[in-house]
Amino acid sequence: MDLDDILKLAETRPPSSLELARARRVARAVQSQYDLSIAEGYDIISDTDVVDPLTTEIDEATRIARSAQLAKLGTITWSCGTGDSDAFARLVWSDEMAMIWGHPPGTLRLTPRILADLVHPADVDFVRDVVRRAWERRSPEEVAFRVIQPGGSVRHLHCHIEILTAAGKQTGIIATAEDATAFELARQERSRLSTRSRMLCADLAALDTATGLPTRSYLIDEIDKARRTSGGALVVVATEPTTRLPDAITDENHDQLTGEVAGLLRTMVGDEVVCGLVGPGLWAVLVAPEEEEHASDPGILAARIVDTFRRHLFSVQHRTVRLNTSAGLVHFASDATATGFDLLIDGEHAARDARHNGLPVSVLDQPVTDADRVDRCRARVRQAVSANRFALYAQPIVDLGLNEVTRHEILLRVRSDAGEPMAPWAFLEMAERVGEILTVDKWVIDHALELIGRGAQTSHYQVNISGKSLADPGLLTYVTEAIRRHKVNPECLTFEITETTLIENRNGALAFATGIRQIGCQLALDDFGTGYGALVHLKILPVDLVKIDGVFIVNLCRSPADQAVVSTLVKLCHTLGIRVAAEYVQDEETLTLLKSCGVDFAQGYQIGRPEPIAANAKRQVRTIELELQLPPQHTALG
Amino acid sequence: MIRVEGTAARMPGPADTEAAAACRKAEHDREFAAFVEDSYHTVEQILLARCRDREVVQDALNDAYLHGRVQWPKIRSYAKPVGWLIITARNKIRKEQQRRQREAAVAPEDLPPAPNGGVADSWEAEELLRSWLHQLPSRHAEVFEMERAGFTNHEIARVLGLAESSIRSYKLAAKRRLRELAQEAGYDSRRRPGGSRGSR
Repeated sequence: MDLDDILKLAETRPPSSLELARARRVARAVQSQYDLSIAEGYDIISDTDVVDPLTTEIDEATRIARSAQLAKLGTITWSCGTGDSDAFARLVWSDEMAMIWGHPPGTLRLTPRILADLVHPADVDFVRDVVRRAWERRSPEEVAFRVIQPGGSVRHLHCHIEILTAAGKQTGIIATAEDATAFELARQERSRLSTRSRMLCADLAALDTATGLPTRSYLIDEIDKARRTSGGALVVVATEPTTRLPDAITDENHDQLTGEVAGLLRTMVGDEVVCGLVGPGLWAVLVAPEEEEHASDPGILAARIVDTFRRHLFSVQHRTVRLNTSAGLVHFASDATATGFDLLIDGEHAARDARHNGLPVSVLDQPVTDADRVDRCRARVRQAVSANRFALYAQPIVDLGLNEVTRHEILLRVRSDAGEPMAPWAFLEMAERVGEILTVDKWVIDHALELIGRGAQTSHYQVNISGKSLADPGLLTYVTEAIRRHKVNPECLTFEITETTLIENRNGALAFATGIRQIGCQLALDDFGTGYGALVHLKILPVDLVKIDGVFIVNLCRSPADQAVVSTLVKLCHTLGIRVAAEYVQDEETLTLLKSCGVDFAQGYQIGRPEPIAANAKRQVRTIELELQLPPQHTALG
Repeated sequence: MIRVEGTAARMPGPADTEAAAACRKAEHDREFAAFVEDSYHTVEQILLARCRDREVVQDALNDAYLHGRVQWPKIRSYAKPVGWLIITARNKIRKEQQRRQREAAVAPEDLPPAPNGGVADSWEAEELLRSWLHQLPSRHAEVFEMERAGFTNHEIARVLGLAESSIRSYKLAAKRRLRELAQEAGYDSRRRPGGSRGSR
């Protein structure tokens, strides 16, 4: 069956009896209304022409213009002269048309040139082409364009162009137009809204990929909300494998173990309770007072979690693992001054106390005072630095133009109490909050440069510095001194400024940035696109490289919004003379897409995982354990 | 009509002229009733090609026929009174649409979905065709429907207020687009008989 069959089938339909009845009903209603008007002596006012439209002899242009006028449409007629010449003689527009173009009727004597001047300059050639095509092909055309009114305002017009004929000969052109501005604006708005809804992304940051539970920042926000409203209790559970995990353990195994713990925690506390991973081996559960099941005694819940975790046999690589577990419980009132972040730290400290004292749960009836908390955090950071409880890893970065690894980022790992290297984010955030990040940054700079100086220096190294540390006026001297001391070629160093939100002293940051580039190092901005005021940094800081935050990269292939951000950011940076790197590249597809966007560098599991840095240095084969046994060097300089 | 005869019977004086007038009116009434019954379906079809709202079309038709009845003594002599009626009804619809600003409010993508499934009878064929016509520019759809109703190019141009030279192009364009829409919906004899969603 095709269109012709459907047309034929539709053709065969005589009006149904129902439709005939309706026609008769209309006829009767009309008739009785008419009769009534006669009987009661009033006139039905008819505002329509009473001429036979099909037979009246009338010039075609006039006929079309009249019918357009009835429909409140404007017309422009451009007719040939009466003679045989092809030249166009007369160009006129209707009053309605003059008003659409913003001119009082009858005030403008039209010529083709004047008319062209009234059309928007960007559209005029196109309109001219369409008119010419209509004339040459002798067929109607449709065109939408903009006109500029005398006051300068722009209107959108929709125009039908038709060819006038008389006795088979082309005699002119008539354009019928209406002001389609409202229609055009509505169309643009519709298309904008549909783009917006297509581009709008769910907040991926709210859920952690490994655990399926809320992320640390989501939890901190929730705790913060609770301490401002209802008050409640916070349980922080610290877990650590009782035996050392095998060296061959992969990140997937780690994620799998974490996922298993998350699942167990979720089944114990129920779906309603906010809980999640807040640090490596650190879990938090927020118990709100309206929580029926646990609110009466959060202590019982904490004890139950510890007990269950201690008994449970987790499996990693077909081996069973037990978790050494302890918990801290903090009660807080509805007017607590401690922030969500502070409460989390208190809970973590309580959990450490519990482990230290051999108890399952340690309880704080109220948050610790601010001074005590800060003191304890500072002590922890200083202790970690002085005891060298850190390890340095290097992750390869590929130059997408050369398609080979030309750089490495030096990454920090913090060792847990059992000596396991852990992701440092929770530790670094704490150090930043209590103003101890400079100590950590100096440790990293000193040790990283020492390792680089001992190696072949064949690669280019990127070292992280917190935005907060830049406020320290001594940092530049410290870095310069370390470069000289470890005999590092400054040209193979890039300093990445992380947490640009925390640049608190703009002059200090600028002084460091300028100074560091004067000695030959390069400057990068890390996690670009997620902080505040980030674009202004591109303008004022002498940045050589921008690393696009991973949230724009992880889902790049499936998200048109991310693609728009990345490709536009690349264009912007290249215009400003800045190179661009992408982190969190996890598959080949993303890599290909990044190349096509013009991104200069890529980093991520697809290219290579972070490895202990000693394996990276070519001349000396040293393990990271050896490195850690070295006494802290030259700290006096800091 | 009985009322008319009664009135005429009671009037003795100018009864002749009165009777003649009544007689003429009765004839006009009959003619008009036949005209409505004959043309209603066609005109409705043509108007629906432009306006999706059946209620608006029916109101416009009622109004146009009423004016038609008032002017019937003149219109009856036209070669094709239905042409005048279409023009009148179209103007009424246009006024109504301008009042409601309808065209700006309804996006083409918000159109009700075309009925799918097989086309079993002529009514379904008609509905399917109309859903496709609503996706055409209104000039194309109207020209197409008038051609189907048997109007000549000359008549179509005059009723719709178009240039005569345009009609052929509009018809072709309408036919081409309809064929595309039919193929998109799976009605395509070239692919396989019956089409992918063909008739039952």
